Amino acid sequence: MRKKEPWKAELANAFACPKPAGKQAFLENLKQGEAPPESPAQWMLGQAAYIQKSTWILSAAAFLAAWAAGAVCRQQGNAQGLLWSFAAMVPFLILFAAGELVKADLYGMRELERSARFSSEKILSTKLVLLGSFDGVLFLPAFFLSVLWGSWSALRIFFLLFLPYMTAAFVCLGILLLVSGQTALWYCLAASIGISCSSFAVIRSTWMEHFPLYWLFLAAGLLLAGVAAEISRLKRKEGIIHDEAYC
Amino acid sequence: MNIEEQYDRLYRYCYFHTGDPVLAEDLTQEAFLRYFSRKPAVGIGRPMAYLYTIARNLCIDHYRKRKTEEFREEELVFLPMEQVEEKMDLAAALGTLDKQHREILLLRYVNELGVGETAKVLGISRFCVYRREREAMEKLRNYMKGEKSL
Amino acid sequence: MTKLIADRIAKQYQNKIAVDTLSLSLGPGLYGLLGANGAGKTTLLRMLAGVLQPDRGEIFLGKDPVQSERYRAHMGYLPQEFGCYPGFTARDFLLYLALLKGLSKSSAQEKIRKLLDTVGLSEAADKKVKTFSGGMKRRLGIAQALLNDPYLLILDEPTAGLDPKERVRFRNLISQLKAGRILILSTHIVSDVEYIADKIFLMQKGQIPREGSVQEILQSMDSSVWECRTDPAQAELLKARYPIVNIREEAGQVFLRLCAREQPCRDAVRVKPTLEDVYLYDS
Repeated sequence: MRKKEPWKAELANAFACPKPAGKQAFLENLKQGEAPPESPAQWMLGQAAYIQKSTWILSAAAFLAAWAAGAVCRQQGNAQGLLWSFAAMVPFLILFAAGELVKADLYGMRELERSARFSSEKILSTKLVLLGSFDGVLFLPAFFLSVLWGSWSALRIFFLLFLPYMTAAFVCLGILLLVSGQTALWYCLAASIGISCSSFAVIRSTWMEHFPLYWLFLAAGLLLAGVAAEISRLKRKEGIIHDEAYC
Repeated sequence: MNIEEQYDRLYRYCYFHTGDPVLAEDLTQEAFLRYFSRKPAVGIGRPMAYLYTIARNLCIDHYRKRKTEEFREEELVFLPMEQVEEKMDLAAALGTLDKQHREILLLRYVNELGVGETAKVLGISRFCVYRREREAMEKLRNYMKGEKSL
Repeated sequence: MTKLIADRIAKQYQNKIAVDTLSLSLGPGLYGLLGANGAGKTTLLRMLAGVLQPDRGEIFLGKDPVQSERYRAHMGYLPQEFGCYPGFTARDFLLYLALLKGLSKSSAQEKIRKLLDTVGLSEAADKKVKTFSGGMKRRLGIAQALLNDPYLLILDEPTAGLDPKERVRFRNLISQLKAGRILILSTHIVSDVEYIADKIFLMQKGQIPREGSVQEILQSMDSSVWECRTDPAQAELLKARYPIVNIREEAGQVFLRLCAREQPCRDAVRVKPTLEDVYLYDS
């Protein structure tokens, strides 16, 4: 309102104060330290762009291969074939994710990332969220198809896909905590193959159909807790150069 | 509103509390630094309120410390010379208000904070903000009327 | 004036002491960290850059501890060695790091253009980093350290792999950069820092036995430096008795530059000591 405007200006003058002396210098300096103008979503998208395309492609390819194998089994009259092949596939999703996590070590970028403002901890969290979400996206159709084509209960099928995934996650994260670089990847590969074969064998066995669900539930709970603990340790440790390698 | 204007406004607020331009600027800068080093999740709701709250707390902390320090000479209240005569009325009017009322006027009308933000900064309810604002405006109006009638 | 304070920091690898309880207080200026390989320079700089955790002690930039985001926001670091993700061009590399340093894309692009120009890589901006020479990579590393216009700049062996001409160019660049900053650079080449550093730290076995301006360090030397020319047999004797800082054979004669309290042989001539002499004497 016209009356208020000049009045407000007068009021501002009544609260007048000497000009601030250090404003320009401070604001210049602050620009370097201020929070980025981007939102969490933009940060995520930005980081997603830096995840190797091969990670996405290999994961999708593994999914499709498992699906194809399952379809073949189904044609040959084996209804559970799809579940077996998906259960054998999921540990490899962890392997591809592990490759992404050790990338910085493999390509000598660890120190640079560690010394940046948004350090390796934040990058690690972001990558875990992105890769986990993508695996989740692959998990859903694997689950639904297994339920559709198979004969076991949905809950059982869920656990039989979830447990190999979490077991691989637990083992590979443990490896990453102990070993670094290329060696870690080889160990993760061995672990993924081992867990994949074991899952395949276990799920095929005759007693799996009636194995008590509460044991599966318990195993899932323990593995979740273990993985959470390892992620927390990895975040704390993240960026701490494995000393021996740089001695 | 860009960061330069934010700085000026926050500085004015700190000067209101401390009366010392150097100290006011120190506290302004400290408030900005603390604000920008917050975790991203904090401050999404009311960023301005958060910034002013930090500044207010810094000023209050400083008052507490000052009690144990040497007395510092009061700085003269600063008024640009050409505006002195015209503003005498309003400045005088303000002088009759208590600090709480002056603070509300500064936050609401000069720094243009919203009611909710002001409530958050001062740690009072929205209703209380409205009430104090009304009281302050009434007192000012009465004073100005009284002056005019002299 | 914000200072970098390191308070009794130490780092040990199994049974080797890499950094032995060092304390530093550095205001704006250029600091040269001189020492041979294995002296502990890289370990010290890694701790100051927040990349390696000290076993003991604390590090602050003003009031910000080394683990804080604000510390890293005001710091630029060039590691002794670094790699690059496959397929990155120089521009991609800098953009990636700019995002990690909290710059918005638009301000990053402008900054990158200027920095590439400053370090002389404008023409190679869109070339793949894996095709770069050692010197080009080093310059790219310096550019990334400057992305966030840091107050604290830590450069670990920045001249490694640079030819003499590039080294001169680098020295000029550093001299321009040091205004209003804390700039710490490590090297084992004395001439890198001799003429531009405000203060030199000579590092040896995890400790800093000598520090100060170049003048102060030269004055702290309790021996003199001598040059003489002699036959190989006598040269062997002198080598056994005195620390030799330089030795050269020419036409059957041996030219020696060595440290000794008194004249080591008949035609030895006392010469003005240089920082190189002190450095080699200590090693």
